[in-house]
Amino acid sequence: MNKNIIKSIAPSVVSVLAGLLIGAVIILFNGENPLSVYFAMLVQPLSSYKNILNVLYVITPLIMVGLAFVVAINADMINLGLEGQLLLGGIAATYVATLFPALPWFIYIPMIMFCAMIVGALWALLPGYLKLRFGASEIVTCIMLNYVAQYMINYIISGGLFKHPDIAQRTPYILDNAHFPSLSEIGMNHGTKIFRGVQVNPMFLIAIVTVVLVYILFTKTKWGYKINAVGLNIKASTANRMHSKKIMMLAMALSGGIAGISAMGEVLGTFNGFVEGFSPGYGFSGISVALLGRKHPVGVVLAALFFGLLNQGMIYVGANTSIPKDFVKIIQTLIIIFIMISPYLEERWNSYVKSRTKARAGRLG
Amino acid sequence: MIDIIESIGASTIRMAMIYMLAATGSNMAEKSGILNLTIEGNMLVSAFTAVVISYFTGSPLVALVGAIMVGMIFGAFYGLLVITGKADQMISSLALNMFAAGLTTYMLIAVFGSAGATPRVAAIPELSIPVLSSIPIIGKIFFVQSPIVYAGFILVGVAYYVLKHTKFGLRIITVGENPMAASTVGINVRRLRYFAIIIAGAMGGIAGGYLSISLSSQFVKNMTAGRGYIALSTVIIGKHKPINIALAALLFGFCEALQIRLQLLDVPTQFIQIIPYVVTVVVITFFVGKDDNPSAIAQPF
Repeated sequence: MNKNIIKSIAPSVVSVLAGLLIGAVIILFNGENPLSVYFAMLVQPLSSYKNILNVLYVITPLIMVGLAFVVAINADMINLGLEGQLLLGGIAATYVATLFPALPWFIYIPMIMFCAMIVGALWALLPGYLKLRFGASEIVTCIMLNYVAQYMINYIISGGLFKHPDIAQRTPYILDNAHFPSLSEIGMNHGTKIFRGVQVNPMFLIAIVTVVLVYILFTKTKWGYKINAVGLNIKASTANRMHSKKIMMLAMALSGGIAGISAMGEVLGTFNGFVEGFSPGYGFSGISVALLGRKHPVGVVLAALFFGLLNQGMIYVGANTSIPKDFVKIIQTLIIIFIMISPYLEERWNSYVKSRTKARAGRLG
Repeated sequence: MIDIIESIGASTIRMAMIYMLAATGSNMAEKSGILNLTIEGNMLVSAFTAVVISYFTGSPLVALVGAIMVGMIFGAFYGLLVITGKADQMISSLALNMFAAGLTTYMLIAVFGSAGATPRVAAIPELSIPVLSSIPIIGKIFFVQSPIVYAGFILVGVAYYVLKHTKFGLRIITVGENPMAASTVGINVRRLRYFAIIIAGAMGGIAGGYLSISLSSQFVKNMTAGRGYIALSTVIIGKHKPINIALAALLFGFCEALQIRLQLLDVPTQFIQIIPYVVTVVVITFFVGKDDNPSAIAQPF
């Protein structure tokens, strides 16, 4: 394997191991056996083809939000507004998906996704604009706008503007021609039950296509190059006649657009509409996924897979032990903390190795 | 009319104190060059600790001391990451905040077996100051409050004095503006930054304890609800000056007081609930103007 690849994934691997190690201590405190808990967590979700396919379902939104964060941070914009962008994109998509019963699905679904992207992008451009025009920290504005988005949705749904007549806290159902069928439904329609209970739907494929597109954007196109250049050094890029601000806004819009369609698998698939509180904080998971994935599209997929496994595995763990499900969140954040200090740990490790070899050389000489 | 003024005034002070305590502490850290976004997680963990201790000991005073100590540990841990470990301050703050959210909900289930809130515990009672509290209007607004409120105002004064008139304060500012120069004249930059972040942690601890066992008497899942970030905007709006920060905190306190008041009216509650968040965005955008950050903010040394 390429030495560079090893070097770039080593911090992630070490951080994951360190996180799991501390997690093991917490498990011991709960009076459980860490090995069997981790086995249930990381292996049980992969124990049958149905379970594996369901892991793909779980990681779909994680891949999307991870990519969204990567796109923005490469332009030195910390987009913490992913959650709000995802929610508003979701509600916009739901609304459009109730409007046109006569449209064929291959026109309708792209149209719905386009609307969700626009809404997500606009919600991301707002903090971007406030930062570039007025110098308002995008971190604070993004977080505030997440709360605003949440209350707006609460108003739209529970306030009665766009509300299911009988069921609380959800919108009306979307039209059939806007629906993403799950593999289970597709199987049933073809008279087979082998996929029964499998929730993965075409959104997974869209997520994979997005991974490829983002990869191409950053490795093969002028725009990706410009985004990276601005992210690395704003002053130098501006001096080289790049429109730094325009490029940062572009990255922010792209990031918001991706975030806007992150939850389409849930909205157009599983729930057939928008259910309040359906997101277990995907927006913040996106940050973890992006950082564990070393801000690389392929890394994002691997990181999403790992965190997805943890989340899915927790279902089995929670059923058999007394460990609360927030255990996963603790491990997830510990891993990120380790990643953040990994450059320092690496430096210490290198100087330790150096002093050891020196000492040995001294003894020999 | 007078009782409306009294009630809005009193709840302005009551709500403002969360921001005043948190922001005054954070300002210390920021002055020394450490971005204190962790204040959100800091308050959350301290608020939880206070309730746990009060639940088991029945003494809110012990609980408050515990909250302060946990806040200091939290601050020191953040210092370990960003001062010694030289980690990126923004992202490790976020990670710590998410860690705090995860930890408190985890402990909520582990200790109390509840996913949403703890049982009610003994809280710090209000203390109405004799004589002063009988002054019309002002008495009810300022002098029938939690003892933490009085302490908070004193702490603002202390922060002002320390930063303006003491050697320690001067050194903190130097370290935040020009750590290189500070280091050459023999100031231990890292140690001072640790001091500052631990002070900020202690203040965050008071703010958290105030939130859970003075303003309320229980811990509710994610009860800080972004208030730490609002406190941070308070620092920015107050241009890193203790007195201005206290005034900015009063502004946010007023927004929340108004919000409580407006909920009685026939306006959709959601529009009222977003007021503090929208005000934060607007204020941070239009009233800040030039960047007043210490020159070396968020830069490791």
